Amino acid sequence: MQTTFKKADIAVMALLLLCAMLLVALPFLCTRDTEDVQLRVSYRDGRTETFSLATDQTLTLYGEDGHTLRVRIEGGCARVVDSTCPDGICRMGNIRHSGEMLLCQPAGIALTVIKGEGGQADAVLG
Amino acid sequence: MPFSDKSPRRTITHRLVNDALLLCAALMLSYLEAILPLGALIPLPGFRLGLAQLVVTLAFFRVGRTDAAVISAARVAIMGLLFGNAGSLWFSVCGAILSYLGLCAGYAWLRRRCSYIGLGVLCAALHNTGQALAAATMFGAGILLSYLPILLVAAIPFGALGGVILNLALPRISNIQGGRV
Repeated sequence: MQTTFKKADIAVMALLLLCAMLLVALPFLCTRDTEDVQLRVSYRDGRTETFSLATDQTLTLYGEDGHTLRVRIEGGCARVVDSTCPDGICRMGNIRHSGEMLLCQPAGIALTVIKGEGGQADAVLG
Repeated sequence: MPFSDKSPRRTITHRLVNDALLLCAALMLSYLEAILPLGALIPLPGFRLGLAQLVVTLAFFRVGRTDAAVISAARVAIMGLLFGNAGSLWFSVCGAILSYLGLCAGYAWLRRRCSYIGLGVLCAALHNTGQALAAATMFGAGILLSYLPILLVAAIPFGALGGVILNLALPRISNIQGGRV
């Protein structure tokens, strides 16, 4: 390997940035549902719960290893307002469109926006 | 009766000891990374220093590919058994496999074009991709679109930092135990 900074190193970083931007843009290129959607809470042990995004509410979810998540549903949007896990990835962003997801790996909890009962689920967790 | 320097038994023993020392170093760095309050310094979730990967890369280029694979696998197993659970072990396994494949690919295709900075960024990105794929097997494919972009961007600065350290260190470390890649 070379041991001094090369232009190809910049090319690798640029390629990664391009991949990241493509992944961000991909959902916007697809039609997404915002009407009649629900929030599905999936636990690592297979349990699932479903909540309506139309009703403003605050949920307290209990995950693995004593971790808890507080999820706020407001204005058709769900976000994690507080969590006890050390990573904090789940606190980034909010979800409102069908297919979007928030995940707390330490707690083993996934929050997914799915189409309402009248529609078809985007994914089925076993 | 002492073994000669070229005795196969001495070579195997030295190889075992060198690999064990590198494994200890990787474990210490993994533990250090776990206890560092990185969240207070950089309030961005998902950012990891990837210090243990430095040892694996060093082993790859200064000892051997097989030794690097064994060190990586042993580190993941020990850290997962001691400090993690089945879920985190699965995440670590997927990340370690992809980052090792990145090392092999980087050596095969990039060694004449890139420095360790590019290799570090590539391995960090593949490590994060492996973890995202592990999450996708547990929680569905939607996780890939939600978190992979963040993880790919996070891989750039810390992969580059590791690469800078390797750029400085590796030319000053001769082949260990006559190993060559």
